[in-house]
Amino acid sequence: MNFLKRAFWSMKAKKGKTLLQLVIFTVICVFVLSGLTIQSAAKASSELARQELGGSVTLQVDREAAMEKQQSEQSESDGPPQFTSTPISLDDAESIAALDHVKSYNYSVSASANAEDFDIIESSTSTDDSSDTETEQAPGGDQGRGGMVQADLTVNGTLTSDEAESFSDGEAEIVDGRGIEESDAGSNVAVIEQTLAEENDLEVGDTINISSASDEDTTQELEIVGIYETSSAGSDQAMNFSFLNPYNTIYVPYTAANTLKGEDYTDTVESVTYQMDDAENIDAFIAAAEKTDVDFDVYQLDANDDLYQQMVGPIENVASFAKNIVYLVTIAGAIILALIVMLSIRERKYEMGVLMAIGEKKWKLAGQFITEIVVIAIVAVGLSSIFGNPIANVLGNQLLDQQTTASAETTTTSMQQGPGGGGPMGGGGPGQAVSDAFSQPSEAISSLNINVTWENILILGGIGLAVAIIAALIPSISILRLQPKNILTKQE
Amino acid sequence: MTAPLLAFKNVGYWYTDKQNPLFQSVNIEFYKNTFYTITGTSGSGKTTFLSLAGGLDKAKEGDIEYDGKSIRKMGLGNFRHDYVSIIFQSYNLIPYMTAYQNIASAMAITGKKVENQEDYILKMLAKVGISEEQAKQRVLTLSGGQQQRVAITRAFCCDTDLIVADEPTGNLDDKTSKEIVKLFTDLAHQENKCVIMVTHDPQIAAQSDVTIQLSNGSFRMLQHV
Repeated sequence: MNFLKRAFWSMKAKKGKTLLQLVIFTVICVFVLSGLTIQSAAKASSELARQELGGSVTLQVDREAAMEKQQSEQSESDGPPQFTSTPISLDDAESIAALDHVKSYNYSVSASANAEDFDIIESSTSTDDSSDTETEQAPGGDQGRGGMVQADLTVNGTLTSDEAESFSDGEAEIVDGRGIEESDAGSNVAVIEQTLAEENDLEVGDTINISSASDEDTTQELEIVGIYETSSAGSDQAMNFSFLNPYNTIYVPYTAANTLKGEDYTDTVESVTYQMDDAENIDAFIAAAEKTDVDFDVYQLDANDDLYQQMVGPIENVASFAKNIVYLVTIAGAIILALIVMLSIRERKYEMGVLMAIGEKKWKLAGQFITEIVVIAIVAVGLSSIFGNPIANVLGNQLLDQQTTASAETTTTSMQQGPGGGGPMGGGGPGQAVSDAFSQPSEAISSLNINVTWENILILGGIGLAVAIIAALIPSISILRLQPKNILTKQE
Repeated sequence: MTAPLLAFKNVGYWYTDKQNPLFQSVNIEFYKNTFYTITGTSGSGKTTFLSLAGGLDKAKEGDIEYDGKSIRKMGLGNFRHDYVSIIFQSYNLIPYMTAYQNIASAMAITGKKVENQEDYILKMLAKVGISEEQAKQRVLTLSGGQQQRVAITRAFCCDTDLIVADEPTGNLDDKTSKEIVKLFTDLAHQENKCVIMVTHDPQIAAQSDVTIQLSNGSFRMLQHV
């Protein structure tokens, strides 16, 4: 292949031009590779975060719709407004749980209870006879009926306590025994807080008795199967109301909580949280759920991927920026290179005329110019794979720092504005989750593990080759259309 | 009688106006072992005639045959590739290559193969007075005469039977011109080639076997004894 040899001779003879093209091509390749690498690192990080965090969707009563309904009914009758919460049937909950993308799910039932044979942890201003002077509004179904009842304890009914929000957030942790498990449904077991246990010398295996806050006749004997420790300081209201004190929260199977609330609540739950296999599937899951028989005039599905969004927000911005870099540099680079190559090929019209006069095939002439620029492209890709990694690291992490700072500022503003109303029933629920997410800006992905991969280099090679071929081919075509006589005559 | 190597058959050529042709109905035959010169005043069409003979341009009418085959049908590119070597006044060497590389490239393009190519090229260059050291220099570092010798050697090494040259001595001094003309004469007579050279120098024309004079579209052939 004589044209390959000619290409080599030409490059060797024109060292300055070759070097200039190599420098330009290398700079272009370094930027493109940085963009590609940052993009793939950002994608990998956000996928990892997405897989780790998942994201969840909560099925619960549509409170807004319920309030509107109450208000319209109230206008037809006298009396104060009453809010009736319609519990979710287990059938509905399970029909949605059977849909695709559900990694796991958990029930939540909140009830209030009084301690029968043990002492609760007193809040500083609460008293035993608080009911004489004040009425505590306890969590649970009775609240839904407008009742103001006295309560010592918050009873959280769950399918598995590990997936209850306090535990999954790391706020609560089992220190002895075990948590509530799915197999505990129907049995009377409980997990209590360490301080409460120590105060009453309670251990795993002991039993406690509690009574429903709304119906003293409804009592339960619960076997302690686990003791947990909470790091929650509780809300400000916990100073006034014992049941809001985090030490006075006990976890029981959802069936036990339902028993405390009354017979009407058998085989129901207040809310169901579905953990997704991937936060990306939330929309598809909600769309599928809306096609089930569940009455979405009464219930609603709330997506909770705020933590994921907060974590990956900056990184997605970086990925998007990196993508733009790739496009911009590729296009600009191709244009710049094409112009440089075009100029250099135009200068070589005479050479083309001579070679054509000797009888060289036109495609071989184009092949020579393409070979020259492709050789430069290959060296540039090689060099950029060496220099691309540190540059991409610096560039990528600097971009991410800027994005993380910007995101933190946005978060602060959001926090000042407030993320919205509190969660249902004792401060849990999605509202709280949003608040938690905003209170932990440090959880945003703050660094990228940027490594140039073979895949990046292959893509860069593809882009580089395409740029090289286009840059050489366009000017070649215009000149190859000329006849050797014309070229040589004009030259002379 | 031997068949002509190149034959112009009723060839006509004009630039833009057919009614005002440069020449018309030209019938000329060229044979091997002959050194032809073409003379004429400026603008008489010498270079155009040579371009037609060298396959750099197409006749507007009529046909040109090489060894009995129409060069139009075989394709001008193929004709140049396989059968003709062209030498221009400006040498037509590739500037970034050495003398050796210029010749090696041309041989590769035309498919001329010899054993031990480097030795062959250096020997051929030595014959025209180009040393090995000069052969490995960039051609632009050589003098005009040396460059023209390289161009002639390139044509010789490609071993085509037809060599066309457009005023190859135009830029050279008398002494060098004579040497170049001697080279062409030797090529024609010793290597059995057909050499067609455009010149406006009557002294050079007188050294050729046949001179074709172009004047106002007419051709007059002068056989030198």
